[in-house]
Parts: sequence; structure tokens; C-alpha cells
Amino acid sequence: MANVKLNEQQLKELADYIKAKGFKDPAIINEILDHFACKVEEEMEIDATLSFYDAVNKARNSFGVMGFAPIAASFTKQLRSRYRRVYWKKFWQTASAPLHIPLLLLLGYGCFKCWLWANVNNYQHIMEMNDVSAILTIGYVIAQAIIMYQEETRKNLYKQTAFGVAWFFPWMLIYIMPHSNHPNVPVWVPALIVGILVILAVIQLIALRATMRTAAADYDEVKQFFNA
Amino acid sequence: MKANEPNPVIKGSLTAIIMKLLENNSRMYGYEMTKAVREITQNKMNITEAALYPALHKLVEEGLLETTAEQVDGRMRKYYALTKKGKKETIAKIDALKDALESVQILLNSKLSNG
Repeated sequence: MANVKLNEQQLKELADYIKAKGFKDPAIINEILDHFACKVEEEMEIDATLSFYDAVNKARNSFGVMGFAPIAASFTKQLRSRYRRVYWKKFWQTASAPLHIPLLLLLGYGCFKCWLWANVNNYQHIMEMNDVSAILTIGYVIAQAIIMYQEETRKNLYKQTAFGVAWFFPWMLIYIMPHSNHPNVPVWVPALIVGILVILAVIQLIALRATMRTAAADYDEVKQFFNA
Repeated sequence: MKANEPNPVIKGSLTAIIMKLLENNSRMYGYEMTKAVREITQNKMNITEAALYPALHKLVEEGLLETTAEQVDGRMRKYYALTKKGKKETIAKIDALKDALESVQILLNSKLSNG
């Protein structure tokens, strides 16, 4: 292995160089930095007269025309695939756990009955929506927002990717609810849809939270190297 | 072919090469792999970064490799190692590559005629 070792300042300059090329996330920088630094050290060892900056240019050329882009793209793809796997595993675990099944069915049935009750009593105070639909929709949006806030989703690539893979089918709640009181549709149909969507939304939120936790653990593992 | 040009033949067998390297060395980091290939083949073969890392990430994604990160020389170094599944798969991948190379060898040594 190379005997030339880059100092802290030179490593910082390499990190800044990667950033200047458009790869600003610390996780991506870490993914590229070691290889880049090894390459620079090798160039400086082969030709001792080479300046650090010339070695950087030579090392950069060895990454090819696409530069760091293929590494960044495949790293992000790998993260996405990991979190998608975690998400669906948790989704099916939650949906099929013996204890969860009766609880989820009870919750769905409760929402079904509440929706019918509100419909009979003409409780439609928000945008002419059934009030139960409105409350559930708002509740779902708030729950999503809380998860985003607690997990500081925007702060790093791991959490951003994890949040991005979550299955947002229950967002249909928002679209369906204002249209769920059509005169030609039997009244139990929208109530049933609401019940099913609530079950899906709860499972989705549990799976999303578990996925975000995995992303947070992954982030914590590499965070210690970010300021190195 | 120049040393820094991606060789399509190598690209097709890259997975097997990576797994063989890890079978022999238990754990390696990306740069170490490219250097090992250059040294073993006396610079006749070069694995480019653009080919290596997507292949490594794909192997991790498939559960054939696992990674550990360590602080080395002031930066994060990611080591790759074969998982249990990866160790089993290595034998199959290398056998498949050997079979393919043998077939190519037979083809190249035979007098090909059309009809």
C-alpha cells in the first residue's frame, strides 16, 4: 500500500472537491473519499515530484468521463433497495401478526360504523365531507408530519431515501374522502373503503416508522466519520 | 486495450472476480480490490471505479456481501466481506465463469466454418 499519506487539510480539500462536483451529502462523500484519497496517494508515490493538485487531477481522470456519478447513483440505489425491503418486511409483519389482525379489524370496523353514524346524522362540517373522513384524513396527515419531524427526514440521505420508499397508497384517503358521499353509490361502500384505508394507513405508518428507525441507525453508524 | 479503459469481458465477469478476491482475502476495501487485480494480472487488467462500485453495491443489495466501516488514515474506509450466502454463491459464480471461459477457449481454438 502507498507510503504517502494525505494530511487532514488535503483530505478536506478532496472532500471539498467532491462537494464542488455536486455530491454534497456526507454519506456520498464518505463513499467516494477513501478511494479518491488512495488514488491520489498512489499518484504521489509513483511520481514524487507531482504536486498534490496534479495528483488530484490524475486521480480524478481515472474515475472516467462520468466521474463520481456512477458511484453516487449505485450507492443511492442500494439504499433505496435496502429500505424498500425493510419497509415491506415490516408492512407484512404488522399485517399478519396474530395480535394485530383482530385489533386492525376492530379499528377498521369501528371507523366503518362511525362513518355510517356520521352519515345518517349528516355530520358534514368540512368541505361537505363526512366528519369522520375529515378527522381521519387530518389525523393521517398529522401522523405523517410527526414522523417526518421526529426523524428529521430532510437532514440526511439515509432518512430521505427511507421516507421516499414508503408506500403512500393511504394518501388516497385525501382524494377519496371528499368524493365518498355520491348519491348513486350504496352508503356502505364508502364506509367500507374508509375502514380498509384506515387499516392500511395504520400498517403503513408503523412500517414507515420502522424503516425510518433503520435509516437512523444506519446514519448513526457512519455519522462518526462525517467530520473526519 | 489501455489499462484504464473498461474491458467489456472483465465487466461481465466482475462479480466473480470480486467474490474470488474476497474469498481469498476475507475482507477488502474498494481501492484494494482494484490494486490487487492490477498486481495479480501485472497491469493487464484494470477494474474501473465506475464498474467496481455499482457491482459492489449490487452484491450488498443481494445479500452476498456485507460492509463494515472503520476510520483509517483520517477517513472512513468501508470493508467488504462475503456473507454466508455469498460464500456459497462464490463457488457457483466461479464455476460458471470457468465454464464460460472454457467454452470461449474451445471456440477460439477450433476452425470455425459456416455451413
